[in-house]
Amino acid sequence: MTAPPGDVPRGRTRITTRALTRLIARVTADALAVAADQVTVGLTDAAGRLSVHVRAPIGIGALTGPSTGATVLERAERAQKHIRHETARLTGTDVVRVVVQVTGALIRSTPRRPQRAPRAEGRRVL
Amino acid sequence: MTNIDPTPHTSTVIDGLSTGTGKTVIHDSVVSKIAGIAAREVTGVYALGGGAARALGAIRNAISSTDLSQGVSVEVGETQVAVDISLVAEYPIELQKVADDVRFAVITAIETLVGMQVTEVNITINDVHMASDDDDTDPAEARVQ
Repeated sequence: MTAPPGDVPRGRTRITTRALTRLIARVTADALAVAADQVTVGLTDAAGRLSVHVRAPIGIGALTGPSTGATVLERAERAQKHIRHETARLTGTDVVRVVVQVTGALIRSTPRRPQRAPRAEGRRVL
Repeated sequence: MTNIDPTPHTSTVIDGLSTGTGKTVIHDSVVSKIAGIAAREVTGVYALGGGAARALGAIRNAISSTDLSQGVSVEVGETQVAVDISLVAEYPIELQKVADDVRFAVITAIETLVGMQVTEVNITINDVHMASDDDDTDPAEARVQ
């Protein structure tokens, strides 16, 4: 991945796929309220522009708890815009499209007692 | 491309600095060390070097002999220098901004301290460091206390 030529005097800037992948995974994780290691990022070249495909579960608050007000579909759509915007802002690459594939739901149950706290990930429901 | 090893044999005689009473020789390792010091001071730079260099760097740090030119490779000519730097950026900084800041810092340092002209500073951002990477403690465990 190379920065657009002409903008940068005296030398080029290269961002490796690893850096790009990890950054997008983190942005996606934040948008979907899951851990970054649960996100799979696919990057493809679309005529010199960047095409992003992310696969991740979506984190959902306890079903018995207060509602967040947004449906999964709305949140996924918001996440898609967020990923596109943040990737472009942070990496300076030209993002042509972002595909968000929600692979499952992570229901977060709030821990009741400090001791014997459940795993932070909660229960995974497909 | 000059490889940075502990005992570099390459060096440069700067014509502009040589007078009738002697000549000034600047080793490649001096230039790369100055570039390394300048680069690692830039905000948003977490570390210099790639995976292998950083693993080795961690060991060197442990025995307090930090390699300041880690991740820096220089090509020194008669009066000009070209620099290649690989680094790990700190999330959530803008990568292009870090690269531009590093480029500026390195050019400024070399041109003022060494007095040679910098033709180009190529920067490779090979990874992004997340603050959560250092978090080895299990969140469930942290809640207990």
